[in-house]
Amino acid sequence: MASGDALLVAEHLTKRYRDVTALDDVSFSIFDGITGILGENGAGKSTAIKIFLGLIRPTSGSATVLGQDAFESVAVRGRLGYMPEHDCLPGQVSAAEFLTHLAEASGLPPSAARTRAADTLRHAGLFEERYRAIGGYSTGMKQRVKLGQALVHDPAFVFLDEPTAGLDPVGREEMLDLVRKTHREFGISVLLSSHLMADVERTCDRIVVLQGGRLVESGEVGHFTKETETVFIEVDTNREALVAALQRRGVVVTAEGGGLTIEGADESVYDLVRDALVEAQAPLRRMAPRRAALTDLFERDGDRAPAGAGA
Amino acid sequence: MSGAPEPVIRVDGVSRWFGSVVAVSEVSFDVRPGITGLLGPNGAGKTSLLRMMTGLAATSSGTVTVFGEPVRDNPPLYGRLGVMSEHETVYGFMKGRDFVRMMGRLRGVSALEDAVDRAIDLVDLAAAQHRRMDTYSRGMRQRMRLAATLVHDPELLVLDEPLNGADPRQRVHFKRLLQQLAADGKTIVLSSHILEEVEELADTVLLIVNGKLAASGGFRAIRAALNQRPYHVRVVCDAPRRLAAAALGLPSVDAVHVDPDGAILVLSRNVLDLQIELPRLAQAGGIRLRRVEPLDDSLESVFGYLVER
Amino acid sequence: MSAPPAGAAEAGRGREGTVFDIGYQRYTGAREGRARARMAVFKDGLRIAMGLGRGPRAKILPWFFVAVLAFIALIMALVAGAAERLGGPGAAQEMNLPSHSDFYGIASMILFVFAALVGPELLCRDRREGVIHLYLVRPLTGADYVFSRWAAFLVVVSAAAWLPQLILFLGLSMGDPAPLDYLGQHWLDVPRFLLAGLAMAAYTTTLALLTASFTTRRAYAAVFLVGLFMITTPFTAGAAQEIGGTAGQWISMFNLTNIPVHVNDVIFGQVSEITEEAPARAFPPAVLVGWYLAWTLVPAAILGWRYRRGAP
Repeated sequence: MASGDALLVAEHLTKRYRDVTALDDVSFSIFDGITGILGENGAGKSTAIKIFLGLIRPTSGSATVLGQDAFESVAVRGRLGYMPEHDCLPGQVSAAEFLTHLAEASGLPPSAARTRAADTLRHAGLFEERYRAIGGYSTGMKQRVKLGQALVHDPAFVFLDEPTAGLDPVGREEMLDLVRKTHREFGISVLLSSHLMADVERTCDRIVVLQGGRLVESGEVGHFTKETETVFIEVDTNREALVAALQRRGVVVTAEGGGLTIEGADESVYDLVRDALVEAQAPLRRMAPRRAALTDLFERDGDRAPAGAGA
Repeated sequence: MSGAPEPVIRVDGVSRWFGSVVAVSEVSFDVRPGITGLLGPNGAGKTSLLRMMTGLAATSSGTVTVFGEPVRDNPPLYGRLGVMSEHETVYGFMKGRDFVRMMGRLRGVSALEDAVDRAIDLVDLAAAQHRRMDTYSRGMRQRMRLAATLVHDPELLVLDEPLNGADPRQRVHFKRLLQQLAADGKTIVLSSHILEEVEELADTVLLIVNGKLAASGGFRAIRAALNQRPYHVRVVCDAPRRLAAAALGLPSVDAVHVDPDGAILVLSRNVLDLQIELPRLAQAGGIRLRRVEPLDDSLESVFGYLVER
Repeated sequence: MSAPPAGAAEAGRGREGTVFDIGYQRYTGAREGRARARMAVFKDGLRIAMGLGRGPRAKILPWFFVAVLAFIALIMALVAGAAERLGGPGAAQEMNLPSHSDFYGIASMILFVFAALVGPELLCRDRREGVIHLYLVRPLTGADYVFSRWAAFLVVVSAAAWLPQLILFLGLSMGDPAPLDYLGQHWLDVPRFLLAGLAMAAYTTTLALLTASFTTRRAYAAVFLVGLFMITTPFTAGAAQEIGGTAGQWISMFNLTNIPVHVNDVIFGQVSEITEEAPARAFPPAVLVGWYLAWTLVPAAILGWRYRRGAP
């Protein structure tokens, strides 16, 4: 394989259509782990994913998957999994039959396909319902089938496109658990495309951000959700008493949202806060440094310059 | 919230059933100006409730009044309502502007072209308005549908999963738009599964579970009302084991876990008790508290707890 | 573990226990790549065409058509048998009763309708439901997919074309007072009808699937195909008669239902009852076969081209 642990490599990848450039000289590598690929609609994310899946030929540059050229190699797709965002499940077939069939379509012999399908359905959380026609499934169950067909042939790498779309909060948490499990327990690396920054923060180790067909950010999630020097405090009652107690101790405090913030906190301020809390009898709900969030990347207006080498 | 004597929407003892299936069961609440979040698991009855609130469906029992009048079969009232349902049905062959204009005309909007301009500007799609909608991305289609919902400047907006398919920048823009509209005195009812966004936007939340209203009001107040629930708090301090020992002395604390990295995780049965006692114990022991983070505090945790109950 | 006390063996075998790992296992078995993928799509195509594993309603159409064709063959066999009994040996031939060489002419419209109604199911549904995208990210090209489906439907239509002929053959041989003699004299009919049936099947399959590749709705493809055959047939036949001469012959060549039947005639060396009237029958065999090949291979190429890089 080309460079170290890189599972997917894009090098000067460009895709031009008649009147629009979907990808413009993009270079990045995706390593082992869960990587988020972010960007606005039209930024080039789906084009990049389709190129890695061998569905589109790049105009120039190269896309390598598991060491093979993405477009030329048909065989490498036996080691890739894809969970599309759009509807892609047959209504009249059962999940068990469908997964067995797709496992075979990925190259597994029939008996292995059957056992892999059964095991994968169990890991994806589908039990008795697996013998019923998919048309009758709820959204949550359908998403599990979609994930199952991406994993049934034990790929080395899976592409997940908006896996939590349409799921209610409980379903979303369960799906994100499955995504984490896919890497941490099953050992399969993931490229996750999502518009929900909270999903990305909770599951991804690294991110790649595209905008206008260019790479504008890449790096570890931790880098983008670093702590700031602002301390945020939240109390349920007696807030005014707390503010007074803090001011008496010489602490400068600002009210913000449901709580209070203290800028540029020095070590000693924590003890002052603690004492003020006791004095004001203010029930402490939360005290923590503010963190940057991935949404901050998108709250700035206007375009940003393309990144140099990834972080 | 607001000083208005009458609520914008009053739902009173409303139920809806289909044969033996009870979709909504004796729900009552008021909606006032500002942003109200309607939450609940899939299949909990939210869609039925929204349809009854907008007059699209009749109640099986109970009444829904909007702006003081019954909402069902009340065409003059619809001019003050803007409704955006979850599933997209737009005519792909239509240009965006034409779609918004058509909806405006259907509503009898006067000064049509200006209203269309304004609505399209609000959703920031002026650049794309002359293109066919089948060339739009999903997020753009949603925004154009929102423009069509806003074209007649309704006082009440009911939006079901309006952010489906929207990318992060569009989400930010949309949030600002809603906040602006709320500041202008409009009433917005927003149904969404993305709780962290509802937490940011909504002053009031309504949680529907199995057809019943499980919680309503300000999120923080709801959370504070759930005093007796299992509550995990992660504490970083400079004497973890001493603080852990002290915490175990509290009768409301069920367990303390010590992390390899030095943080301690306190599991308590009484939220308020722990909130008061933790600083006190730290002070008594001369321990510096650096971080106190509840793990069950998000709208999502509270939601999960209420749904499971 | 302590040593089990005496008598423990009788008490039970519960002294040892094993915990099995049923967590996720990596797959270390064979990966058969593209060949296996094509076979999977092919087998699935057979199932779709015959309605297997998809409930009783999916089976009605294909099995109904097979039944109708078999029935026709059975009737032909019985009538020929009756003629032999009543009129003596050779009576059937004298009376010029329809036989193997005529069957495909008679059955052509039925086979076309069968292909029109059942064929599109192999391609349309996958595109309409979006399943095609799950195939295309597997070790399978678009061309692999469509030609595996094509092969599956070819097998089914060939079976539908051959079965009645086999029934007819058996019927005729058993109806004959001297079955073994009949077999001895007429055994050449078998490879002939097998080849003619295959030609009929290839043509029908290709046109049905090509049409299906243009729409996601099975019904539209079916209506288009049936309409195409039912309209061009009388129209070209009538126009050919009217105009006559070489021009009329060429017009007759555009009678789509007859194209494979002419090949059938070439194989059997005699004009069938259906194509007796067609001016095109006058063309030399090379032209008729070449024309057939054009109408089969070119659509096949277009079909492959449409699927080459994804869902059309």
